[in-house]
Amino acid sequence: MNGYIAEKAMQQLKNYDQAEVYVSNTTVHTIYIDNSQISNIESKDDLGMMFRMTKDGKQGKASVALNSPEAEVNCLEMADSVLKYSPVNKSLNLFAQPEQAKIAMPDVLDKNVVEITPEVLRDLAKRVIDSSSDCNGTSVKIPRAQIRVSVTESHVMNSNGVDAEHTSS
Amino acid sequence: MQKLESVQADALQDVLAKAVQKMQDLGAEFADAKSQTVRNIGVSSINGDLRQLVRKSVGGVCVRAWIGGRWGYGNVSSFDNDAIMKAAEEAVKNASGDRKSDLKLEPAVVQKHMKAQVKVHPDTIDLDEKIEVARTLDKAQNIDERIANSIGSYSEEIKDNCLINSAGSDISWQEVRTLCRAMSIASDGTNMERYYDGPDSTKGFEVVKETDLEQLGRHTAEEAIATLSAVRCPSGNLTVISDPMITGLLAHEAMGHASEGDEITKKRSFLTGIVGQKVASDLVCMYDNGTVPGAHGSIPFDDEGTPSSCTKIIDHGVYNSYMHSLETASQLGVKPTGNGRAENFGKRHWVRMTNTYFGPGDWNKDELIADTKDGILSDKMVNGMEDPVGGCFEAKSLRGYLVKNGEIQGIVKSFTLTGKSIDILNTVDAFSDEVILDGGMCGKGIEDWVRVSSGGPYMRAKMIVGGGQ
Repeated sequence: MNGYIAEKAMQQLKNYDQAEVYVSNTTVHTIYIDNSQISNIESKDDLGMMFRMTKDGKQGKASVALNSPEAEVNCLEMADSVLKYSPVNKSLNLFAQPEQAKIAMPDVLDKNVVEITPEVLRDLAKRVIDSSSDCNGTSVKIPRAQIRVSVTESHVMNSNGVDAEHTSS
Repeated sequence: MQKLESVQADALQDVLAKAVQKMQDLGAEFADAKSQTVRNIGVSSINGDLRQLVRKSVGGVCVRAWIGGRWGYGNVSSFDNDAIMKAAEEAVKNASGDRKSDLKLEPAVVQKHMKAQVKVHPDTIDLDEKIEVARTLDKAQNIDERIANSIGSYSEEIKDNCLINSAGSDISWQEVRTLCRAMSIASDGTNMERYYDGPDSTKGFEVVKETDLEQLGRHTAEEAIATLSAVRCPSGNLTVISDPMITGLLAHEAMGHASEGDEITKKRSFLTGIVGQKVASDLVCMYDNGTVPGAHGSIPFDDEGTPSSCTKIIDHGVYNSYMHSLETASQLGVKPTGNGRAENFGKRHWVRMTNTYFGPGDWNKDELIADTKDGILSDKMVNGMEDPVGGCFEAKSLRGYLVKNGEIQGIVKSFTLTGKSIDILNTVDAFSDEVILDGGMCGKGIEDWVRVSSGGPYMRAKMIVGGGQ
């Protein structure tokens, strides 16, 4: 999905000296504890993209939440307007080469986190609350706490030939 | 013929209404759905170079289901029907489980569609002109070789909101905020000092047009240079005339956070159970007021759709009322006050302040100084810290002045102010006659930033001053 969006977006960037598209989507689950009780549980899906491009030594960059068909067009317009005002730097050569994208990435994906549902978080929160309600015979109230897990899939593609994806938790 | 924008807004309201209905069908006792887009432009010019130009646009939908005394949230950065319906299902699932309570929410029912009350909408101004604001503020500070850094900035935020709930509310509104600021850093090779100034507002680009940018830039540079000659401030339990910024910090950080309803329902605040008790001198009235025209923290509705209001927190020295969201109002059996706010559609709703300030007195500022034998007059703030549990006031003033026998006698370097908030408020013996508000951002816990303002008049009271002397 992210790769498809990135590939389509790259087609709009042919008129620049260098161009790059970054697309990422994140799923977040959060559970909030207030006064030793579970008060809120949240599930959140985010999808966003960033354009970055150079032309004649100038750089443009903008990011948007991909919440409508027009969002991508708006992002490109914003990035292009930023490029217009960018100071000129003739030695500007920012974007990664394919060999750099092949450098081994650290393993930052815990598959257990991917599997976590709000129900699992609910059980975890209950255990935290129960454990604090009896600390060596003393009851401790938790005024405010939260447990949050997130999984992010990202895809970067640029005009030097980089085409890399990554998942982290 | 209907405009495309309004067709899209109508279609989105239909989807939000369907999401609310779906949550009710799945068992929600109360449900709401809110869409929001947030567009920002930020420009800064430093030492003559355009250093930053940021354009950002985010938007999405937050749906909430209330079941058994608990909220379930579904957030999605999409306006797509299927994505919103899926989020509605998740919200109900997240709220389900053991019942926490049988608490019922009592929202105001409002049907209103409002545009931002601005004279010159920032959308009608070219980006070039906005960039020029930052450049002009920066350039105007270039008055002396002792100015080591000059910073000019412009920023705007436009928020479009649409909210539907199961009680029958159907609201849409726009919030516009426009700010510009100059900050100068001066150095004489030994000392380094700074000064800043600039307007903030829930107004449009007229804020910039009504400001003499050249004069503002020159003024911050002159004041930063003047501060280079400051001496260390005395220390001790001293008479302090706090300027509106420091007065506002006392209102916001020390008394305001401790008056947020969720801190009260958790019995975590030092002000828990204090309604009706004397907490300050008879001169002290304190408010949280989201309806102040043009103020940075003003909102027509909070993020739960409750119309903004003016809460009188302290009435002539007697503690009067807390601030509430839908949930904390129900918990304490009172009406919501329009303080249920969230940073954006993807964040939790908390009890949050709007414009928090002490009310005016009847002293002219100059008379107040003339009446002070021995004291410190503060001038602007660096920062302050909340302490809802302990009730202490902690703040740092950017600089100040010595006041001797009714006259300002010299400038002093940055100093700290502290003391038990209630002790300080009980020593207040004079307020000036003009309230000034200062806009900023307020976080709660480790995240969740909302736009607020705080302020008040010049206030004379006893405070513990840490000045290095």
